Order: sequence, then structure tokens, then C-alpha cells
Amino acid sequence: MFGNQGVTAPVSPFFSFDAGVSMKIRVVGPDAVFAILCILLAAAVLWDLRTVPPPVFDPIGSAAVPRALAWLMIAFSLWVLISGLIRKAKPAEGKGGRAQWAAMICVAAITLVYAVFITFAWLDFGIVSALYLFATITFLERPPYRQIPFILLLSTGIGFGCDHVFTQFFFIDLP
Amino acid sequence: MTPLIDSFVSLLAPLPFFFVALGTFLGISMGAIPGLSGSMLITLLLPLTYFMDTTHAIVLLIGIYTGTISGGLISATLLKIPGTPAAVMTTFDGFPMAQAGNPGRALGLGIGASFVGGLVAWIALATLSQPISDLATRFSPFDYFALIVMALVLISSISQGSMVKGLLSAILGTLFAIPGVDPSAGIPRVTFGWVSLNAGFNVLPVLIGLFAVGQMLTDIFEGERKGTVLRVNSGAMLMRLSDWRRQMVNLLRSSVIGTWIGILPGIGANIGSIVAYAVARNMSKKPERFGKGSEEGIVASEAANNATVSGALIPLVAIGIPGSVIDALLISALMIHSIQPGPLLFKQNSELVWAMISAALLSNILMFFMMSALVAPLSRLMRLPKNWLMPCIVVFAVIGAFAVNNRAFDVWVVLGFGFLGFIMNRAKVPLGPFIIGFILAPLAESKLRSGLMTTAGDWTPLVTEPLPLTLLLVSISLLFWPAVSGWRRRHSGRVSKE
Amino acid sequence: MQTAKKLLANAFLGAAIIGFATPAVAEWPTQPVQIVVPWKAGGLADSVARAFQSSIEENKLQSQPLVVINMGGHFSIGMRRVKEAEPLGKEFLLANIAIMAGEGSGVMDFGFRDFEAVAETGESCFVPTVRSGMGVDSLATLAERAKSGEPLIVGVNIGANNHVASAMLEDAFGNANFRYTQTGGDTANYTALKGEQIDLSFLSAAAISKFAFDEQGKIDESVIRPLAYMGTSRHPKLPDLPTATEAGFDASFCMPMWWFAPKGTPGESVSGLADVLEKAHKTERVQAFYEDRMIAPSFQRGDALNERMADLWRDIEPKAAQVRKGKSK
Repeated sequence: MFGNQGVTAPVSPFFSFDAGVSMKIRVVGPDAVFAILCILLAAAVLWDLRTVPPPVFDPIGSAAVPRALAWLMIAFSLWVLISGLIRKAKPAEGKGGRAQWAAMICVAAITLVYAVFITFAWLDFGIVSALYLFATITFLERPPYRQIPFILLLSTGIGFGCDHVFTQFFFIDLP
Repeated sequence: MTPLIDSFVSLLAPLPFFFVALGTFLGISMGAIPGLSGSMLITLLLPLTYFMDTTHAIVLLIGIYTGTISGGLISATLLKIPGTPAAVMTTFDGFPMAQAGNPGRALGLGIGASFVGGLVAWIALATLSQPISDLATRFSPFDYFALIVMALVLISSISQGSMVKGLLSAILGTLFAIPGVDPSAGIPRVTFGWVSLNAGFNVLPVLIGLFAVGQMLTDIFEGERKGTVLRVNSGAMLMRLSDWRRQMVNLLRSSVIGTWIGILPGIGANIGSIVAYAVARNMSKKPERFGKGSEEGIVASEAANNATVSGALIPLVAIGIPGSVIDALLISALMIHSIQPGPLLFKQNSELVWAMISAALLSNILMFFMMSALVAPLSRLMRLPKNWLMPCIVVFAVIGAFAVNNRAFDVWVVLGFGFLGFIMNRAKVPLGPFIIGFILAPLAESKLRSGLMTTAGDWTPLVTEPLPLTLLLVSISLLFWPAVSGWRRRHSGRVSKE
Repeated sequence: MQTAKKLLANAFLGAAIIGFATPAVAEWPTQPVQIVVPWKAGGLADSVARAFQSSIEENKLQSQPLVVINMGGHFSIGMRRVKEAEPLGKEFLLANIAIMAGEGSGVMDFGFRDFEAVAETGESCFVPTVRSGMGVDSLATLAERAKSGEPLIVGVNIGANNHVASAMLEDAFGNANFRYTQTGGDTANYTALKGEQIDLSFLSAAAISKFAFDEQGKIDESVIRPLAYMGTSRHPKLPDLPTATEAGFDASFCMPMWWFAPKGTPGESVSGLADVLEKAHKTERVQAFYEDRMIAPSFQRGDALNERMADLWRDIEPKAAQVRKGKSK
């Protein structure tokens, strides 16, 4: 019964949800990371709520609901954390080796650089978007040399095209 | 009946027809591209409509409205990225079906369901606007609060993965909605003194960051970079007669649910599909298929979605109250043309109102044909390598982020939530409850506090008034049922069926 | 070849002359002018912005378009955004007396003195309105009801204009039992009155024009009932509605629509926008808008405006502070 990973058939015509809580074997690592992140976020929220003044216009005030939610989050996070630790660990599917981590971090870094350029408006939006597209696509795709001009064309087209359309016709303040 | 028919026929003239068609097409495109949204397009087009004839302007905007809700189906099914928050439910079943090699079928079902949903709601719009709107105004703040709590518990329970994780996701979403100036008291909270956070996080960057950027990072990490290498069944798979017969009850039921909930100002569009989906799952003979590519799931979600469009138009047409955010923009558009929507809109501008009602029907029909024609080529999009697609989506996401408030902060919001989405995907925490919690929490809190102000702090109406009591009881039973049924199963020694 | 060269040379010369002849500093505006409206689309402030936007387009009063940006959420957010914007003559604020109500009631830590005032365009006064099923037909009856023991449920936007208006009337009534609940602005309050969720609310005259007239232009009291007009004299379209003062209660409160620029905005931009607004204000379109929405067609700018604001603040500040007394009982 505990080994049963399946979904149960409806017991009643009105409620038919699988008892996922007790039945599924799950991954530990990312679960724990997520649960701890949630606990930290909830703690940060509770800490900031100390500065909220007591209610003036309504009976419960501005801090009541966030406080309740933060405590609920801590409770549920602990549940996930503890149940993840108790269950057997199973390797996460598609688990990344070094190569996958590296790839993900590289793309994340390129995207971060893109965001920084946009924040400080160091380059025109069209240019920096074209560069971003070119960099990311070539990094991920590792294309043969003959495909590179095509990617360059596509990146430039989309980057400058969007820049033009959205600033000229829609008055969006792109950098 | 005659004014309606006359109005519809007049919309078939070349110029008005062109505007409805253009609007529908633009809306579908905007809804399909993650990062851009129909409301963004409408906001940006508003000043341009000044130069147009009033009727043309309004039918154009209604076309966009219908198109954008329907277009969300495309990216939800093919990319697992909901084009609008309302399309979240479609990702549950549309994407798995597409991944299994049947994107055309998923799209075909969605399109057919969208059409019926729009049609059923339209019938209510054309015939019952006044009484329905009157009824909608009688919802008290506690009624709203209980309805939203139920929707959050519902979506947590129907998401893939454990219910605890679903609830955790929902609560996390609600917490992210908190930072900002408290609308009920005017004071900033959980902003950590950071003025950029006074307006809180805007839903569009959060949605795109979580679903699109998060998915991109997850795919790269999990090595799924080549795009789907599956065999994609070619050709559109529109709904056959047997499909229509099989799904008719589900279609009608989901459409009615979408219509009714769509009428409630502020919450309709987003929770219509949740409730319809959950009811469909409960009533289904194969509930275990939901979340894995169930046809009924797609049908329920899309029918309800499109029903909310006409549903939201009902209070607008009857008493001048916007049923949704896009409705508020329609009011702005009317004001640009010196028309003041109110209870007298129908009496003072009956031609325009009939045109709005006819446009809702016409754009629904056009949507059906346009999207049906697009199903085959769109299905082939599944073959596009994600390495090419995802960076483009990031660029669109950045544009969409800027369109919100013209500031770079929202770009960082997209990235930040992208990382969060990645972590959630890795931890198998469903994203759907997060976004719904994020959208609905502020409304739930303000309704609760309004209700408490009315009763001077007395909580009892939540359990003494029939509607809140019913909704809260449903929520509680949803919360505890999985544990109870698990316990019962273990102790009765029954063998579970697959 | 020679002719072509000559032509080209002439063209360059011409361009150079034109280039030097153009003034070094381009006239305001050189880019689209953004007007931030700190309320949702569809509301009164939005409608004012749209009316002016349309009139400016129609009459070509400006070389650049006016772009309206609605900011939902609390009204202080949109106001703060403009307060902290770069004073480049690009971004402006359309607010109303909520900028004083918010500061006075304590929900905002900044106010009108943190901006440059550009112009006032129109003023809408408040109308205490009850739901029709209550059996209340005048302020006097309302006052009796308010003092009878059962609390009156009053729909307001906490800390904003309609809250200040309510507090004023509550004070004028004396020992009244007003129980405030957060509903929102005109539309939300009309919905709440219609659905019998609240007893009383303070709608703007513009909302009355939208929700309470029948096709013949007479007041339709089947859903909501306006009780008084909080202006200094009766409104021409509501000849049978007494002012609050006439009814014996010293409470008048009106909502002027004010346009602001961030502090430090160059005078040229401020007066540039004021000029455009003044011209638009006089157009048929805007005048028809005022008439239709029962907005008094006032216009002020410059020193006269600053003085008026100072006077109003002296009057409003203590009344807005009274709002803090209205805790839930």
C-alpha cells in the first residue's frame, strides 16, 4: 500500500482527489532547498511586519493577514521539509551533472548582464537585445559555422524590429 | 430580437467586419505570445481609437478581448506558459497532451470549447444582463472572501503533486502579493523601506518570470534543449461529432460556471476556469487523467475562460460596472468617445450596446475560424528548438515588463521570479496555485477587512450566512478529504484501481 | 554630373542653414507627455484625463501626444511616482483634492507642497447618497437615523476624499454613529449601495450624473437617493436638491481636479502644459464633458492657484485629521 504510487479511483462521486500526501515518493534535495527558502521568506516578512503600526481604521489592521500567511507558510514548509527528510531520497529526474549546471548558470549570467545593460541604458534596446539573442542562441545551440550568419540576422531582426515597433507605435520607453 | 439581428448584420459590412477581425487576430497574437497581453495592447491603442468611429473602436477592442483570452490557449498548450493568468488551468492538460505528440488535438479541443463557452455566455449577455447584474451586486464582502478561499484550496488540490505543496505554493503566491501600499490603510508594508516596492509586484512580470524564464532555466538544467523530438501528429484535429457529443455536458456546465463567475467583478476571469476544471474533475469518470492530458480538463478550462469574457461584459452593459480589468479599459474607450457607461447605457446608446453584444458573438465566431486555420502550422511550432524560442520569449518578457510601468525594476522582477520558478520546478511545486494566490490574495484580504469593518470586527457572518458557510465547508472538506480517504483506504484494505 | 553635384551641395547648404536657424533648445514638449492618473481606468480622474487628451488631439493643441497612465492600487503610489520622477517636463500628475485628504488623514507622508502646481480644471462636489430602501429622504432624517443607535454603514475609500466628506457630515450631525467600511470610489460605492451592502456613501456629482438620472434627465430614485449637494450653491442640474448648508448642516466639500509637475520642473514646461490645458478647457468638447458630468467648469493656474490651494489646505487639514477619529466602533 505504501509502495503504491498510483492515483486512486474516486471513492465518492463528489470528491475524487488523489491522496498524494502519503503516497508519492519524492525528491529530497530541491524540496529542502525550497522549503528552507520559504521559511526564510516568511521570517523576513514577519520581521518587517514589526514596523507596521497597529490598526486604525479596521479591526484587524495591515499586519494580521500577512502574519497569518507567514506562519502558515512556515508550518507547511516544515511539513515539506520533514516529510522530505523522512522519505527515501530518489535522484531527481534529468539531474544535472556539471555540464547542466554550467549551462544553466551561463545562460542565467548572460540574462543578468542583459538586465543590467537595460537598467542602466548603456546601449540602445535594439542593440543589446540583438546581442543577447545572438549570445544565448549560439551558446545553447552550438551551431555549425554556416548557421551563425542566420542567427545573427534573426537576432538583429527581432531586436531592432521590436525596438522600433514598441517605441514608435506604442510609446513604451525602452532604453 | 430584431435589433440584435440588425446589429449583427450591420457588423458584416466591410469596415466594421474588418475591425472585429483585426481585433480578434491581434488579440490572438498577443495572447499567444508570452510576455505580451491583450490588456497591454488595448491600453496602448486607446488613444488611437480616438480617431475612429465609436462603434468601430469598441468592436475592435472587444475583438482583442476575445482574441487574447483565446490566444492564451496556444502558448499554454505548446509552451506550458500561460499567456494570461486565466490560461493557467489549460497548461495542466494541454501541455501534457501536446508533449505526448498530440498538440493539434489539444488545440482543436481548446478552440471548440472556447467557441462554445463564448456562445453560451453570449446568450446570457444578450438576454439576461439586467437580472444577472442585479444579483451580482448582492455578493457581500464575506461572500467574495469565502469564494476566493475556496478557489485557492481548489486549485491547490487539483494541481499535480502533493496537496501540501500545492497549498504551500498558493500561500507563497499570496505572500508575494503583500509587499506594497496596503490599499485599505494607505501604509506601505513588507517593502523593507524600498520605494520601488510600493506598488508591489505586477502580475505580468511575475507570470512571465515564473513560467517562461523559470521553464527556460529548468529545461536547460534538465537537458531538454533540443525541442520536442516527438513525432507530432500532423494536421489539425478539430473536434469531431463524437467529441462534441461526449463533451457536451462538460461544455455546457463549464460555460455556465464561467459565465456566472465571470460576472463577479474583479475575480471572474481568473477563477472561472479553476472552478469549472475542478467540477469537471469531480464529475469525470476518469479523474486520474486530469493533469496528464485529459480532454475534459482542456475543454472545461477553455470553455469557462471564454465564457468569462461575455460574463464580464454583462455588468458593464447592464449597469456600467466593469466586470474585469479589460472592461475598465473599455469604459475608458467609451469615455474617449464621450459616452458614459452607466445604467442608462442601453437606453441612451442602444445601437452601440447591440453592436458590443454582436461583436462579442462575431469575434467568437471569427476566433473559431482563425484559430482552427492556425492549428496545423502552430502544432509544428512544437518542433521549433527551444534554444531559439526561449531567448526570444525573454526579450518579449522584457518589453512586456517595460510596458507595465516604464521602469527597469520590472525586468528584475521577471528574472527574480525566473529563479524562483526554477527552484519550484525542481522541487516539483506546482506553479498554478502560486499565480492564482498572487492574483486573488489582495482581493480576499480587502474583502475580509471590509466585511469586518461592516460588522465591527464580528467574524460570525462567515459561518452564519449561507453562501460563505457553504463555500468554507467545501474548502475544509477539500483540505481534509485526501487524508481521510487515504486513511479509509489503508484501513479497509481495498486495492486501488489505476 | 556637375548638376547633380551642385544639387547635392545646395541641399547640404540648405540643411545647414535650417539646422543653424533652429533654436538651440527645442520647445516643450519634445517627447510624448505622460500624465499619471493614480486611479484605475474608468474612474472620474481617468475620464477627465481622457477628455483633455481627446480635445488636445482633436484641436491639435500640442505637437506631442498626451499619454495617460493609469496606476491602480492605492492612490499614493501614483502620486509618489510623479513626486520622485525626474523634473524633465515629461511626466505629470492628474490628482484631485485627495492629495490633501491623504496627507491630512495621515495615509500619505507627502502632499501638494512637494509638487509644482500646473492648473486646476473643473471641480466636482460631493453628494451624500443613501440606498433607496432605507426610508430616508433628507439629511435631517438621516441625522435622526444616525443618532438612533443602529450604526449607519458608510462606504468610503479610507483616507481619501469621500472619507473626509463623510467625516465632515458626521461631525456636523453631532453624536452620529457612522461605521466606516472600505469599499472604494464612486463605482464601488454605487455597486455596494445597489446591492444593499452599505447604507450611505458620498458620491461625486459626476457619479450622480452617471447613475441616478433617468432618460428624461430627472433624478431616478429607484436604486439610490441623493440627499444633498455639498457645494456652496445648488447645482443647476439638481435644482431640487438642497445644499447641506441649506439643510442645516455645515458641511461643504468639493473636489477640484489638479494637475501637478514634479518639484523643480522647468517653468517653461509647467506653463507650457498650463497653456495647453487652458486652451483645451475652453474647447467645446471639454465644456460639453463638464456639463454632462456636472463638473463646475473652473480654471486656475499660477499664483492664483497656489493661493487657492493654500486656503483650501487651511480648511481641509483639520477636517482630514478628524478622519482618524473614525475608527471602527
